[in-house]
Amino acid sequence: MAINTEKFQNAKYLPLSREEVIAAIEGKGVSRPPFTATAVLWRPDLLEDKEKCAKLEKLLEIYPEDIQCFEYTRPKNFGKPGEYCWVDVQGADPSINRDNTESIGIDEETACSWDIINQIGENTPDPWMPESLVQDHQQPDGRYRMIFWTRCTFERLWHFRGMENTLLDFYLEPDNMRALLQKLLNVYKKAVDRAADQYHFDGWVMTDDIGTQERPFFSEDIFIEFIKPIYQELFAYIHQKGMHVWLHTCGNIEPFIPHMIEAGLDVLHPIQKYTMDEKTIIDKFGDKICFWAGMDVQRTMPFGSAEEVREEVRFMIDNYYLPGKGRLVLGPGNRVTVADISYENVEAFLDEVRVYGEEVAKNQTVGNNTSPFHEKEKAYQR
Amino acid sequence: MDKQSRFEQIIELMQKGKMNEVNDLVSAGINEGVPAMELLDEGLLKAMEEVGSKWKEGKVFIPEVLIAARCLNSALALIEPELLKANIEAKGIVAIGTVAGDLHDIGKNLVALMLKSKGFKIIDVGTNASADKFVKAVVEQGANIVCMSSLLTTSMPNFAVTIAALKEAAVRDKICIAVGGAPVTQAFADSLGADVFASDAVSAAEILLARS
Repeated sequence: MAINTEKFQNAKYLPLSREEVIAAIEGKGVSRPPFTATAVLWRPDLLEDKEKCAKLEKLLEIYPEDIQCFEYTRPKNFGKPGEYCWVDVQGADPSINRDNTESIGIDEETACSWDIINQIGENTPDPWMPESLVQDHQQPDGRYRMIFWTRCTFERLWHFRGMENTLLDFYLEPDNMRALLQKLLNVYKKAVDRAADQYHFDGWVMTDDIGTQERPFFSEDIFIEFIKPIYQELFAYIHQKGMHVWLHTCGNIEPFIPHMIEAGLDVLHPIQKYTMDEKTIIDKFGDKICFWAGMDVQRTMPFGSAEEVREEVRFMIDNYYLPGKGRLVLGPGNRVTVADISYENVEAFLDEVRVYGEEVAKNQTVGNNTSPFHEKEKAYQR
Repeated sequence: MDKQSRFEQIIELMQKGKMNEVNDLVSAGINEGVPAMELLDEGLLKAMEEVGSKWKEGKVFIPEVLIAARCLNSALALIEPELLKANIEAKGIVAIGTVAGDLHDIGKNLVALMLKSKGFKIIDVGTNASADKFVKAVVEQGANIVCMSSLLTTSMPNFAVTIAALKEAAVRDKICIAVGGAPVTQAFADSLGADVFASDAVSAAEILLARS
């Protein structure tokens, strides 16, 4: 299916077709690296400044993304049997009769006992429930289409048990952890079924933050014992259904990347800036996986100039893009509301991705641009 | 069992998270007249020190720190009455929290844990903590160190807001202010006029211990 050009009348650059994005992911060449940002990563709609929000939405009409993004609604944490929720056990919600419960990950606010977790219904939550899919009405327009299921393994575990409990549970409750992960795997397979059978998506994106700024949350041994088997089975299932597997994880996850590749991961996001050395990552894993490289939203985007934003984009393309193959998608590194990022910097980002991306793809060679914030620590000027 | 063997066993078992066994060794030590301070310094805190060193070398991760800290907290409950009898003071009183506008607390909790393992008393003012909460911890509870963190760039201005409130309360010069968090750098800490910047929990505890 060709790109529906009528839909993109205001576009300065037409989006890439589904086939081109597939070729970029699989290393078969593309006219420029694809760009995607919305769904869970790009949320100008959360801005209090509605005028800026409208301007940014307009900007995305000029620079439309190359991928249509959809998202499963997150099941609520607690509910009744038959509701779209994670825990359908009566009286399980620790916030009952408490005030000021507003956080997640804090043990006393989210932690369920293993006794409660083991009572959760077999089909809870059911991804086939009508309310599970949002943005249901975007018609195919010739672009690659992918769907997000957020918070999958480690992230989901700590939504059940709280952060500290979960990290301790790897040692203290290994059998319960394995059983819960297996149950989650069954839920995700149903979500995959719906994505493939009902909607015919091209990609299944899961988020699973397992890295901190300096290192993974847990050791390689724990990853191999608990997480990798789930990834392996899930990724194989997704491939069997004809979709690519995309994974977002924040932080430094370098020791896990070989295992992710072995498990069959197609696209990894974002190689978070300042947590890993992106040159080392590309040297080690360059043609073994496609990187959805994430733009630095901690320094360059909020604190850099528009020219520094462009420099950073050029550096990223030089580093990750494989001439003649692609293997690079671009987007923001982490979720941004764009509250502290200027309009000019967003525009520079969206524009340079196309301008320099096309230049590099056309010339079949990358440059040697440097990252403006990487070498020098800049005092923040707000 | 001689004292040295007991300490070595405590150190080994804590790193494996064997809480009950550590408690048994500590209780038996107290009953046999081993000074509480020695059990603390040579056993429990030395174990945490080893965990800290391994953390710095990248050999252990958060779960291994937590299982050791779980042993420490449990054994401290046994040892604290003895320490009180011996009138041993904390290394410092730390008010620690995530600044207003930020709910992220994993890093903050780790810093608190490592400071506790170094003998500091912790006042946890929580996440999304207003400047007023930090000020109250200093003025009313005697904190002499304030540790603030943030993960979001959007909450970073609240470091300065909190420091301004501490100045307003005329306590800024009497305390040490330490800052950290993913987007925080030494340059940013300098621009705030903070006394300490640390990039991770172990370094934060080490720097503050050296200053105490």
